[in-house]
Amino acid sequence: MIWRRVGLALVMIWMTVTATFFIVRLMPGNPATFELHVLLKRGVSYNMALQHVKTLYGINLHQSLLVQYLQYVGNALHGNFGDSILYPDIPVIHLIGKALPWTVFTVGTALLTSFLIGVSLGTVAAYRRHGWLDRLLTPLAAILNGVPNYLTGTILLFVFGVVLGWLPQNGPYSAAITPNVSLAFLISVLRHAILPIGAYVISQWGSWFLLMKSSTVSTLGTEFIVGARSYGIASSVVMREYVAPNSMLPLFTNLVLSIGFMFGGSVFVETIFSYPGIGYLFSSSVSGRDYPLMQGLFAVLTVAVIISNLVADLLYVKLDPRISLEDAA
Amino acid sequence: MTTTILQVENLVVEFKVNQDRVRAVDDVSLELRAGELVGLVGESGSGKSTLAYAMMNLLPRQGRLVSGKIALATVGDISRWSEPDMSRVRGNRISMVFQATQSTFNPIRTLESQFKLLFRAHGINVQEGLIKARRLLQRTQLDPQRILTSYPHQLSGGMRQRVGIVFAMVLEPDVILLDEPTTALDVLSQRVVLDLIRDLRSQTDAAMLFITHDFSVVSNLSQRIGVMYAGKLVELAPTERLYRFPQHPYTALLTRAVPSISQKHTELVGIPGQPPHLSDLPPGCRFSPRCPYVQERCRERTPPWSKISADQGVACFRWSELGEELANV
Amino acid sequence: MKIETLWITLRKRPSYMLGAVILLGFAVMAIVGPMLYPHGIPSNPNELYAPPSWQHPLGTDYAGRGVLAQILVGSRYVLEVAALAALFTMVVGVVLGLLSGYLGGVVDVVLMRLTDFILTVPSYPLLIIIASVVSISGPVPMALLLTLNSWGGMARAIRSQVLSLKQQDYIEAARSLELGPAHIAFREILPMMMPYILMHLILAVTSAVYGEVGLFFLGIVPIQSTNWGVMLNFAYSEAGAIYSTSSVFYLMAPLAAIILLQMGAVNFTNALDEVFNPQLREG
Repeated sequence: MIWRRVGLALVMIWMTVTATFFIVRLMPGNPATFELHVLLKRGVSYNMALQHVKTLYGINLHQSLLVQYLQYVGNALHGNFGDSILYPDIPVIHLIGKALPWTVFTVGTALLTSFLIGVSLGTVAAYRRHGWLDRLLTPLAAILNGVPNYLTGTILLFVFGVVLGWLPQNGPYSAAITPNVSLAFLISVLRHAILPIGAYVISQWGSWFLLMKSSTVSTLGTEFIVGARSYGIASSVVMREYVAPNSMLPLFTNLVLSIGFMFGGSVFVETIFSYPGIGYLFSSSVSGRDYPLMQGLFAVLTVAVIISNLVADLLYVKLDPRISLEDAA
Repeated sequence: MTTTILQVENLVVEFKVNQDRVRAVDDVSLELRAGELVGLVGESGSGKSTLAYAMMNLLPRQGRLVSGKIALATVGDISRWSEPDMSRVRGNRISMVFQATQSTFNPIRTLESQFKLLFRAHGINVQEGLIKARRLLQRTQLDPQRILTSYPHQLSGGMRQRVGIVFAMVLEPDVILLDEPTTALDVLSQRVVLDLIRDLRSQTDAAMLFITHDFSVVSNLSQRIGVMYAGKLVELAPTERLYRFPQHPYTALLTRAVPSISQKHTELVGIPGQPPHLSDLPPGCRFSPRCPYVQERCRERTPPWSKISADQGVACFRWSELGEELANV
Repeated sequence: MKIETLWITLRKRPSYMLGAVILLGFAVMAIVGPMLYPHGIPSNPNELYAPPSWQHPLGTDYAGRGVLAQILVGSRYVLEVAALAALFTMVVGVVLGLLSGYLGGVVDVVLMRLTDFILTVPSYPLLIIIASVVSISGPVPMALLLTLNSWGGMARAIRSQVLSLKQQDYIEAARSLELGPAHIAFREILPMMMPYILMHLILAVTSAVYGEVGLFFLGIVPIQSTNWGVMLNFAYSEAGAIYSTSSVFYLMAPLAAIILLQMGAVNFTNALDEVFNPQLREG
């Protein structure tokens, strides 16, 4: 059963790599041919131009489509997505490697923070339904839930970065500080991360809140909560041992799935704050028409999502004894 | 004469249904003695289960204990106790076995960890507790090791119900309430569970209240039987006496009636009509519209509880004159 | 659904009515807005970043054009694309969901694998790549692009609805009458799902607005006319307005419009929810 899941994930990865190939190679006015024509117009010889396009895209334009495709897949499997155009002579995979930690740090922190906020407030709202907190937070969460993060990011940047001037407007750390292991550097990194993280959290917590609230309300209505009380388990223990774990279980899949979603959403936030992560790299590759970089980023992002989905499925089986791998499919 | 363990006096429970208040239990008094099993029989909606939930202080949100006393010999009147105080007596002074339609166990924990939680909740040494639990499980013809390492969903309904009984008994409570413990089980499992209850009854000093809609289920087990109708206790007598010399027309008809084939069907062959809706009760005696022996006064006034002897009572105006006739129904 | 039931429900709570009024207001704005400025929005170089006045209730931008005027004019394109995208999403999602759920078997497996794939692929990056490779012009291609992003969730949801409806007795009955699969799927099952579909239609409009404005914000889609996303993009790139406190109205107006739209959608769907599932709202 595990192998079936792994097999499915591999098929998806293959589909991703294929899709990126065809997007770049087969779309009308595709960038590879476009680049070739640009070079030819500049008076570069045909062979030189072909060679150049080949190193850029890993595509050999004079070969048959099938050979081009197989070469591309072969290179992609080795993590070779060619060289960047924007950053000449730097392999795409190196650029990605340098950007990844910043995104993992901000997105990871934001995900955890919004999850914790949503889950704890959602529990309170479910326990005190129709109480003041519930009345206040439920409509607020419904409106903020799904509000795009470029919106929250812009507001945060404008209010705290520009109007109040409390926090830095862009970059990963102050330009005046050289990166090293020092307290000053650490503080600078944290101060620069607050607004990006805040942008994610404000647009994300609402969905966790709403999910947790409805999940807890339905758990509180189950027979085993009455059962636990009838055995004399104290309310606080019932909440900790019965209500919370059972209510959080269905949220777990969403948590892992939203990792991928948030990586995708980092395009906006990191562009707003010029934060040098995956998303910023992506949007600069797009505006600079750096197709090899775009392709590589897209493939890496998608593969990361596919793998995290696989991990979620396998972990879920461990967490919920009632679910077997067959059911999880 | 054995000692009284639990005394229920003039208990009234109301439910809020839409905007109306409905009396689900109306002025019921009952006492349970050490080592005795009392059956409580009634059609669905007669308030028998509500009585049990009220005694545990586990009424659903819409329910409210309006007045009356629930006095345990060991700790006194618990009817007004707070939730934290109640959690100290639930499970070890008064416990409950639920109808087996749904599991009262936490679906994502092993039974061993749930036993541990129970012992910790009552400040009992976990190892000693587990030894006792194992011994009891053995008595229920279950393999303790297998049960303890299992999750609730891995057991059959009959097995779960036996474990539920062990849960209710392992702390040696004074009173055990069994709410239709066999109703949801198949015939074979019913047999096993009934035999288990009979076996345990002879080994314990606890008082048991066995709630059922099926007279024949409890008549082989109980010392005394109470009969409820539309929220009122209409008769209470030693089993043998109740069966041979019923004093209330409803009891007479109920004990002679053959339950209809379909379990869900509340109509009993031999008693014309349906029990009244609690929101729309007839004036006077609630059985009067269906009673073959009805008189004018029955429709005007509620018959008082007449104590015939120390263990027998009836709520009917005509009990003394009808005695002979009812015995021959 | 009866219009009267909707009206009665709307009057029950001010928030429901507010939602309906907001959505209606946006619809009117999209239709009438551009008509107010048939010759484009006049710019006035003497009034750069002017504060609110009678002439410009939300002040002016870096070129001296009224902010409110831009919001009004810009609403047409934004809402037209969003409505089209929601419609396409529904059509694709409903057809594929019905086929997958009703026919089952190989069709189901293939369609659901495809759905899984599209749900897995990070959505914004996919949109951005396609938008940068294919030149998007006009509302219809833009709406189609956004649909690519959203049909998967819809198809998934419709499929599970179909699966549960399939179990119902009257569908069994229809099948035993040997009514064709197309008849059962479209004449028996589809009408039962209309409330569900209608509610998701409104939510699909708001998420299409997010996607669309986001693409314009990043500056990937060729700019053809004023719209809210373009305003945001200019606030960052052209004028650096974001770094100046004097541009507060220019910057915040499109954001406020989006939040207001979302508020309207949330409240109105809550009202619809009460119309269709009255029992859910009790207790």
